[in-house]
Amino acid sequence: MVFKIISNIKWLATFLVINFSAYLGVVQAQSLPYQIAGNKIGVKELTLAEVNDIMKGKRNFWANQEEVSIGLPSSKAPHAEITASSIYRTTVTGMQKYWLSLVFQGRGKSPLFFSSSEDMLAWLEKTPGAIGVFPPGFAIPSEFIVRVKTR
Amino acid sequence: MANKFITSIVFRIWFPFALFIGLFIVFSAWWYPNKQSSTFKQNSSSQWRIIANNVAMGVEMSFKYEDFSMIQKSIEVATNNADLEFVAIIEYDELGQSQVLVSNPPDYEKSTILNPDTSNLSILLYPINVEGFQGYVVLANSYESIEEELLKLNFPIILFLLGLLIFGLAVFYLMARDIAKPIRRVTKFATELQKRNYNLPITLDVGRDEISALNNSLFNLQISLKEAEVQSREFNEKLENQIEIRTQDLYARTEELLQAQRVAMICSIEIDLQNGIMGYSDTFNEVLNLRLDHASNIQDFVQLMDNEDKDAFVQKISKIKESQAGSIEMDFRLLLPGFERSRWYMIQVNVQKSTIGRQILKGIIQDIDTRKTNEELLNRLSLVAKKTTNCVIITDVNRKMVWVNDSLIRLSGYSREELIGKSPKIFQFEKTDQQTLNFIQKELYTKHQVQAEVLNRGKFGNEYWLKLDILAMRDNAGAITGYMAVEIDITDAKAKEAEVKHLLSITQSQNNRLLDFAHIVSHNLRSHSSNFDMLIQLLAAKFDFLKQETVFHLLNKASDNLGETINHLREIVSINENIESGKGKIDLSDVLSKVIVNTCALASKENVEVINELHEPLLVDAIPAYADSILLNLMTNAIKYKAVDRKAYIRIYGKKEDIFTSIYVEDNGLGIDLELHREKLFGMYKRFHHHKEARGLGLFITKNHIEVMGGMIEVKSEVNVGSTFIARFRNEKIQYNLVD
Repeated sequence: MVFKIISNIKWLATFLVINFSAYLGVVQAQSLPYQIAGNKIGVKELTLAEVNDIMKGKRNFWANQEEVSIGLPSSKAPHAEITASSIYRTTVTGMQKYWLSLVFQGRGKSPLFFSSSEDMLAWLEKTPGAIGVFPPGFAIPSEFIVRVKTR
Repeated sequence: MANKFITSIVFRIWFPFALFIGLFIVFSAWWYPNKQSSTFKQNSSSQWRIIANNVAMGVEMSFKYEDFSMIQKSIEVATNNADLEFVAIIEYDELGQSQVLVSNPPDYEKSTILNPDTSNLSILLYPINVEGFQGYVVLANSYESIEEELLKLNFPIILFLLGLLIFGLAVFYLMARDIAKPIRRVTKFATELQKRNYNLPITLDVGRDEISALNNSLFNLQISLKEAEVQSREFNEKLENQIEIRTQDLYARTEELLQAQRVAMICSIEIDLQNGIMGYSDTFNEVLNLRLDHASNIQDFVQLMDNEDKDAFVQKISKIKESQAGSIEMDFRLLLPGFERSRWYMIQVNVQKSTIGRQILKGIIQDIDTRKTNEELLNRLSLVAKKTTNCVIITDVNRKMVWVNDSLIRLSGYSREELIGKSPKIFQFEKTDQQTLNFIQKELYTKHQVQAEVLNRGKFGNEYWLKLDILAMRDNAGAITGYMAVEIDITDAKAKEAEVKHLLSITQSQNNRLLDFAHIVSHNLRSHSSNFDMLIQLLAAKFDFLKQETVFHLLNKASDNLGETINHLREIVSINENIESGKGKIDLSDVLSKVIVNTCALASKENVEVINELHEPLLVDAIPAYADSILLNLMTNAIKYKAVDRKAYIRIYGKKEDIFTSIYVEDNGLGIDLELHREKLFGMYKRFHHHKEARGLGLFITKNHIEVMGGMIEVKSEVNVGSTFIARFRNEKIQYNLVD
């Protein structure tokens, strides 16, 4: 009996630790230099690593079998530099070369580049499986917001 | 072989068509793929250029408008091109160096992309010049893949052309076969006719074309050839029969010729005048008794000639050589190996031209030795018959005289003309014994020869005795051709025979009286001698002093000698008295064995080896005691008179002959000087060596013994070498009468 009580306490403690950590991650996501929005991608939150992988063309389908369509800010968009440096760790041109190489070798579907966030949002709203990178503070309808867990 | 094959196919009727089609298809198979290749390469080049352009445009759009759909499409098109080795985007860095931005396939060797092997790869470069990117697109195709593509592209058409070729050839073959069928048929006919097969079923063709005409010509030719064959066969059979007959005839004639040559001892001969080589017929060995190599050329042949004939022959040959004409016919002699005397031959040759145009001497050599010998003998006999004192008569088969010699003419008094053609009965008269004449007739009839003595009478009444020896004369076949009588005039002999008979009867009488005298002498003297001896013994007994007297000793000795002499005389007389007693067949080998046994002690003592080689029975007609005495005497003499300086031996052996059987007693003793003692060797009291036991009677008695038995004794001797006494005994019984 004593042992049973001790075991239940262990499980309870573990549960609490995990939930606390998640809380801390959500809080951190709010400090990223971009926002992630997705339409019918089957998830509402992604880890930072998952975001990086998806944006680098490493995932082609979502869990709900929708095809991954990526929207990125064009070089004329104000947050292009931020996006390239934070996700691709390179310049805008480097990001373009990255995608050129990927598409050239047939390893990824080419992303769409938008010069304005509105255009990207309009595209996203009508494209199931689409995921896009928006500047921080851009008003994204809540149903499209994807929370990024940095931890 | 290859030529034959090529020739055989070139002249086939379908060959030109097939050749044309084949060449056309081969040309097509070469031309079309080349054309295809050229077009393919042009199209490929344009296509690759478009692909490169699209890729470059895709890159430009990616950088300029951030639209990657173009590059995506372009790359899909590029990668769908199977023969594309790789496609890559090269960029220049800040320093202007080329580096591979990206390549498809992704893991392709970058160094190869930057420095491609142009011997294996076809390279296309397309520049990209856009803001933010300077570089170019590289497209590479491998020649191997291009060739594979070309092969894939051309394979169906090549396959098609090959099929077309086979199909075309088959069609043409079948067409040609059908077209050539009548030609083949007539060709077969012609071939079979050429092989002399005239029984092919050639039928007349009603067509009007050339083949039909040829067929009909062959039909006619077949008929003609059949007839010709039959004629030819008949002709050949006749010819073969004739040849067979002639050949057999030739063989028979050759054999006959050879046989005739053998019988006549003739050998055909050829002498090449230029080189002297001689050739002979098969009778060479039989005629010349020579090996071929002994007379293979004229020089060797001449060497075998008798010196008396050699020069003449050589001169004749030389003369013919000079004149190149003439002939040789001469008798000559050859001194042949294995013959003691030279043999006679006759050569008869003349100059002829050989089949190859050379001058040769051709002819025969004949062995005439028998003829020559017979001629010589006949000449001698003729001379003998002519000159002999004996009378010779030759009659024909009817016993008519055909030849008489001079002696008969002289003896009979008839002339030759009076006698020729007459029977020898002309010489007979009433005193001629008829029984003898009958005997002659009978013997001539049965035995064809006779010997007899007849009394004949001459023309002038002179009587004479003849001893006739008549013999039938025969020809080579054995048939009687006549008779020859050799007649010896024995008139004188007959007279002397009568005289001898008269004398013999006187001698017989005297001999008998002598024998009586010998008996009387021997018996009477023996009794007187015995009395005389007895009286001497009495005197010696009565008057003892006489034994001291020399005269009395001499008288006693004389008496002994007289007794001994009388005994010898009796012994000799008894030889002739015992002739008829105990004679018969005896075996000398038995007698000799006993003699050897009796003398073996003496021989052993005298150290004489006795070698008896007489082991087979030798039956003779003799008196055993005499035979024993003869052999014993010869044996003891051989032992007594041995040589002391060498190992002595006596060797006895025998030999049976027609009349006598001889016993040889051979020794190596002292020997006898026959030059000195031959005449007195078998005399009474004859001694030739100083031996204490020698009396000089042994050989005398031996000779008497053997002669009484009809035999004889001989001696061969050499002083200090040895003697051989040969005692010859009569084989058959004879009359032991001295008078007869």
